Amino acid sequence: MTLSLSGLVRILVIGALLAVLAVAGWLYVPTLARLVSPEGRETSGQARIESRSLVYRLNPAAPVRFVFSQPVPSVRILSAPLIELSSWEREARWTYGYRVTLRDGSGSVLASHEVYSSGSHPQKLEQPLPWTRFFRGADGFVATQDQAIIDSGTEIASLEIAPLPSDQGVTAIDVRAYEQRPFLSRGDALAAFRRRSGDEQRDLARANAFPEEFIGDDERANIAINLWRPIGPVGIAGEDYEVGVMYQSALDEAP
Amino acid sequence: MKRLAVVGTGAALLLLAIMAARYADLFPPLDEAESFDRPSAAEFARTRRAFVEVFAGGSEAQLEDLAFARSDSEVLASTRMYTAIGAKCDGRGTYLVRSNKVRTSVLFTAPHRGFDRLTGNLAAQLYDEAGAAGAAWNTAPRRETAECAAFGDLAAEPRHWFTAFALAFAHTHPDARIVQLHGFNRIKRSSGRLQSASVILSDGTEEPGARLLDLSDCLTSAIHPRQVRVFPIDADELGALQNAQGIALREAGFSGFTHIELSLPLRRALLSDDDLRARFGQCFAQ
Repeated sequence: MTLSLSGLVRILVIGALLAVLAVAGWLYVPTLARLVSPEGRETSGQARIESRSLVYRLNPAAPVRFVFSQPVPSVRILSAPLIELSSWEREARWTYGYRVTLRDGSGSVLASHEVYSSGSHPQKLEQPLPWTRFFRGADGFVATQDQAIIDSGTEIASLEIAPLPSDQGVTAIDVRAYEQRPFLSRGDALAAFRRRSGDEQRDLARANAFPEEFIGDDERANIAINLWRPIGPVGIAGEDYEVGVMYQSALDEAP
Repeated sequence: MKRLAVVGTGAALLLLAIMAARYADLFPPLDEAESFDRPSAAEFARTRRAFVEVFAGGSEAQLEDLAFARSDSEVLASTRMYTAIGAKCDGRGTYLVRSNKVRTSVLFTAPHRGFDRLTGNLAAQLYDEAGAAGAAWNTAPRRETAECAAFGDLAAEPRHWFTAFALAFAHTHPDARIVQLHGFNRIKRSSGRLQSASVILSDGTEEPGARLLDLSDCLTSAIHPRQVRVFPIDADELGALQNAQGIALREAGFSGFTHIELSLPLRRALLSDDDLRARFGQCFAQ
């Protein structure tokens, strides 16, 4: 059998393409497969775990209730949907919702908000993100999180969050709630900032135009005042609310 | 309200005192230690073999030859306790082995009891209530004290009876877990994240394995809202990378070494709150 030059080139090109696909598959697919299957999520060595965070699962039967350390004018909620595997592979974005009920110190309802957010597949964004979030032992992945900040004219003592109907593929919604730390004075706020380690101070001030050592005490106090701190739900874990550990793994590593 | 807090604190301290009295016989005073001995290589190997024999339900003769005396605990059921023969304490440690009815394939150990306050009592209590396979702790102080010149750090001794005990258990129970309980001071931690932590978990490596993550997930729910951190994912200190037993166990191919640092408030709470301790202990049964 004789091969023409163009035929040989074609074979070489196809061979090179197959080799590239094989290498990409070897690098990417096993990592993802290990993450997708429950067994695959069992060691951090298979995909480097970057962080773990506590989240609270919304329950359609009973809202999750948070109480603030003292009445606050605003609340911050971070939410993210857990997506089933088939939908995760098929879709790129999911809309989900939850209802936030704000109460004052006497328990009276101040307001009720229906919040609709969307979460995206981190690798299907225009600028893909090199990580995946998941719960160990659970099927599916967690889409990108969204933030809602709700202000209230009357100070809020507690809030309740319950899920609303969401897109197909959304199997659960997990949230975290935050309050701003109350300070009696700017001096207290500055002291709170200075009590942090050097690394933490630099980290907190990184959004500033100048490095931490060049900003003034007023700005340092502002940083402390504007910090959000997480609060936990009321009740007993496992009975009144479900707490979960969400892991974030880097996807940029070979297995 | 203030009166209620005082009564609550008093009740918790009373519970702690009752609990400490119950297990008092298990803990010889640390200031009685007259030396901190280390076995020869041959004695270390013989000790390991002797404990393998005991864990396998065999003879205790080898341990007796190595100057270990057996006594049966009055407060702990089905428990054989091994300590050094004679009145003098040479810092060999105290070793408990459950003779039957093991419900949890775990060793609870406390190499720094006394220095890491309440860890010895906690190891005994967890051993007792979880039906664990064994337990061990130090019989000499970790650091030199005014009362006692003999001292040593078991967790830094690769060749010690304490390490031999752990290796023997790993040999007879390759899928089990060996838990080392420690205490940490929140104030000394460098970051706010660790200052607010109640537990810092590590398996002595830079890449925590599945079993450690399983435990961390379970403990996170069990003691919530207290915070559980995992080295090195969300804690950059107290990783036990140089822990002598951790290194020896990994070299022996054992993956169940678990290093747990507990804050003092949590240690107190675990000893005084039966429900909390039960939830905490159940995580080790998985």
